[in-house]
Amino acid sequence: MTATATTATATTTSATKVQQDKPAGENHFGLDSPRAQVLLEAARNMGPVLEARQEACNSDRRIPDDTIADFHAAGFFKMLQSSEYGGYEMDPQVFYAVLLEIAKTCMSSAWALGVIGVHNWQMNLFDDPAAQEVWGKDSTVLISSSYAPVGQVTPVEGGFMLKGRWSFSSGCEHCDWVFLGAVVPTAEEPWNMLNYRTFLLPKKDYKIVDNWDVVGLRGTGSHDIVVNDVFVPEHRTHNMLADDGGRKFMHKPPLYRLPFMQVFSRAVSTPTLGALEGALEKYVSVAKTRLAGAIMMHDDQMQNGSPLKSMRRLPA
Amino acid sequence: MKGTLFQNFDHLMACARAGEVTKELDRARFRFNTAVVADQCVALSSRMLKSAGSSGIRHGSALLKQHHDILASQAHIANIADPFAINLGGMLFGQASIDPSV
Repeated sequence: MTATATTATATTTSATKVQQDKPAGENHFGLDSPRAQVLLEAARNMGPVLEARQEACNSDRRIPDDTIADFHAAGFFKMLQSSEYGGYEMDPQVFYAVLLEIAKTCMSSAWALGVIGVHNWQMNLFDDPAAQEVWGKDSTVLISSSYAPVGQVTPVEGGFMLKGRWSFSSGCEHCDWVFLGAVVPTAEEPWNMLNYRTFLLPKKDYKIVDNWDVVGLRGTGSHDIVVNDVFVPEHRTHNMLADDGGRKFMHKPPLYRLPFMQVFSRAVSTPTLGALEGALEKYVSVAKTRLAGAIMMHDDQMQNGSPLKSMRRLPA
Repeated sequence: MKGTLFQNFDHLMACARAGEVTKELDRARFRFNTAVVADQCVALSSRMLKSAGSSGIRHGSALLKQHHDILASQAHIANIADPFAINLGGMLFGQASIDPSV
């Protein structure tokens, strides 16, 4: 892959600068690294802004454009992206710690960041020309997804014809490409999950159906995606189950040798945990003044040794 | 939950750096640990809502908004823990993994 990425001016932040002089023998990509600290500080500082945007995020069923711009400026979408395209190649723990912090205030924003951000990791598992197509001209281009294996596939010369309708594509309105799931039929096995692939399509090849009308995670704008018989070349597909722990990526940084589902599944569970932490903080403030019958709900002695205190010792 | 999830990834990264594939049983356990977060968070959030009394059920309640978000997250297939619990349980009893994505 040729490093022809154009680094967006918006992503030239202090997080870009802190990593330049790297003392030997340290993990420059982990939670204790200078860059991770900058990213986490940026996430913490966004709390009040995200709080102020909550109502619009919820009522518009969409992450505000300003929030996406802020995530770009802070370098959040670059956390798991390859350095060939200006990415930081951070350990996923850093990515998850940022999600935890964002989710305390706005779980929809954290969810969209988690899902879209992890796609910048998966992009490195495709054949190299695929990443070049997506990021060759602009490395800030974003990808949404819907992985359910509901697509209909017909193998053809050089690739596949794909059609179908997928649900729950979080943040799709902010993205120019999409990952879609489907099983490739063979003569012996019309449907075997071992033949599951992720198909990468540009925006011109799909339509977004605005139907995200839900009670929670409204701001994620997770609308349906519809595809009507389009050609997807072989290199724009990824057989994630055949990767078997990423053996074919041994020449890449360790980050890209991790099993796909281990990385992806944390992107959609971590925001939940962050939202719970946020709820706990709100609950504690309620409990300080609340009576349960004749008894005050707060118990300072209990709280001094409580899970809340021990949680604060952990990352984020 | 938080400590477990971060420790799991410390292990995954250590294996990746060493050029080793993480053991399948560990991967199955990590998948379960991850998937069960939504169930546990819904349960804990429900307890806080109940303890918050009527302030927790009013329109505009920040606690209720967060509860709805947490509830919604359990609808994602990766956050449905039962299949991962079944797979991990079977493996602990000596069966082969039935989850190709583990």
